[in-house]
Amino acid sequence: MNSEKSLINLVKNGDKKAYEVLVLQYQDRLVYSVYKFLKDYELAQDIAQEAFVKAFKNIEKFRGDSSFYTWIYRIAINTAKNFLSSKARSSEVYDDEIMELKLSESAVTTENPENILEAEELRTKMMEAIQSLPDDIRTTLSLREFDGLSYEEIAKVQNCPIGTVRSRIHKGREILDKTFSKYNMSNLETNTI
Amino acid sequence: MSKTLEQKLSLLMDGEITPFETKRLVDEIHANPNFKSLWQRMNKHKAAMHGELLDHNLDLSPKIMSQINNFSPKNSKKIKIWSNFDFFSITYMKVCCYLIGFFFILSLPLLNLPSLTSNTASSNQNILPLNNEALLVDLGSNFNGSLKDFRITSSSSMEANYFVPGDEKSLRLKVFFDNIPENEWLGTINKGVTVHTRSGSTPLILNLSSETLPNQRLIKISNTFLENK
Repeated sequence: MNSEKSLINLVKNGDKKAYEVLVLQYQDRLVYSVYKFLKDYELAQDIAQEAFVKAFKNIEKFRGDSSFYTWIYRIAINTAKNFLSSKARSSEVYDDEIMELKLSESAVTTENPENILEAEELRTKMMEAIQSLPDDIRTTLSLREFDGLSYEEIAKVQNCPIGTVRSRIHKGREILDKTFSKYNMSNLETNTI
Repeated sequence: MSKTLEQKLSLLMDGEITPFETKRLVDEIHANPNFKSLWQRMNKHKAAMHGELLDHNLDLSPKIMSQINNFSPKNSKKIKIWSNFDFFSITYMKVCCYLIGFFFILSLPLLNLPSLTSNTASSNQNILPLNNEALLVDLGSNFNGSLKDFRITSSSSMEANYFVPGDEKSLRLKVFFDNIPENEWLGTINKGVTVHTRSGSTPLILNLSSETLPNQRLIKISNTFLENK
C-alpha cells in the first residue's frame, strides 16, 4: 500500500485538500532542510512556501520515481540556489562550489534563533518520552521511525500479528502527542507571562 | 474523534493505508479541525524525533493553499503535453501523417478493398424511402413527439427515439416496412405495443416501447396511428 501515491493521484485529479495534507506532512522537514542550506530561518520559510506552490503547479511532472519529499526537496534547493544566484548578481560572485558546500553542511550553526533553541529542547523532551515508553511499544515505534521498517517487516522481526504492530505504533504516538501538547501548553504559558 | 480514525492517521503517516481510505481521511482532515490539528501535531513529533523541527508553531499551509487556490493542475495538463513538442517535432509528425495517408490510398487497389462506388450501388438497393427522417418526423407528429435520433437497422426497418413533450419522457419507435418477413420483425420485438398502419400508400408495422412511459400511455399513442390510417 502506498498512501503517498494515492495522495498524489488525488492531487493530480484536482483535489487540493489532498495537497494540504501533504503540506502539513512535510512543511517542517522542508523548512529545516532549506534552513540548513541558507542559514536564514525567515528566508527558509519563504523558499519552502515557494517550493510547495511550484510543486503543486508541476504535479503532473511528478512520475513517482522518487518519494514526494525527495522531489520537493530538489525543487526547494533549486529555488534557494536561484535566489542566491540572483543575490550574487546584485552584490558579490557566488559560485556553484560555495553553494554545494553550503548544501553539504548538516549541522545547525550558532546563528540559531530563539525558536530553534526551543526546538532542540523539544527534541530532547521527545527523546526522553520515547525512552520512557513501555518496552514493546518503544521497540516497535523505533523500528518504524529510526530503522524505517514497514509494518509487515516489524511483524516478522517481532514475531507478532500486523494488527499488534499497528496498535503499538498508534499507542506510542498517542503518548508522544501528550508530551508534545504538554510542552506546547507550558511554552505558551511562559510566553504569555 | 474516534480511536479508529486516529489510528488511521498513524497508518497514513506510514503509508500503510488503502487508496479508498486515503480519500476518506483527506476529506475528514479537511472537514474536522481537531483531526487536522492532530495530523499536524503527529507530523511535528515525527520531525522533532528526527531533529528536523525548528519551530513547533510553524504552519505554512494557509499561505500555500491561498496561493494555489486559483490554480487547477488539470487545466494546465493539456497545454503542457503539447509544450513538450517543439516546432520541428510537430512538423515531422504532420509529414509522417501525410505520407501514411498517401501510401494508404496508393495501396487500396493492391489490397482489393471494396470501392466506394460498389458501396453506393448496394445502398441503392435499399428499399427504404429516401426521406427516412421526413417519414419519422411525420410519424412523430401523430403524438407531438420530437425526433431525437434514428438509425437504419436493416434494409427494411429502422428505429427512432422521440421525446414526448407532455409526458417529458422518451419513446422508442421501431418501423418495419411491409416486405419484411414476419419472423424477422417478430424476432426484434420483445416489448411495447405493436400496430399495423400505413403511411400514404406504404403499409407499415410500428412497435412503440418506452422505459418510462406506462403501457396505458403507449396504447393511447398507438391508437393515434390507427385513427390517422
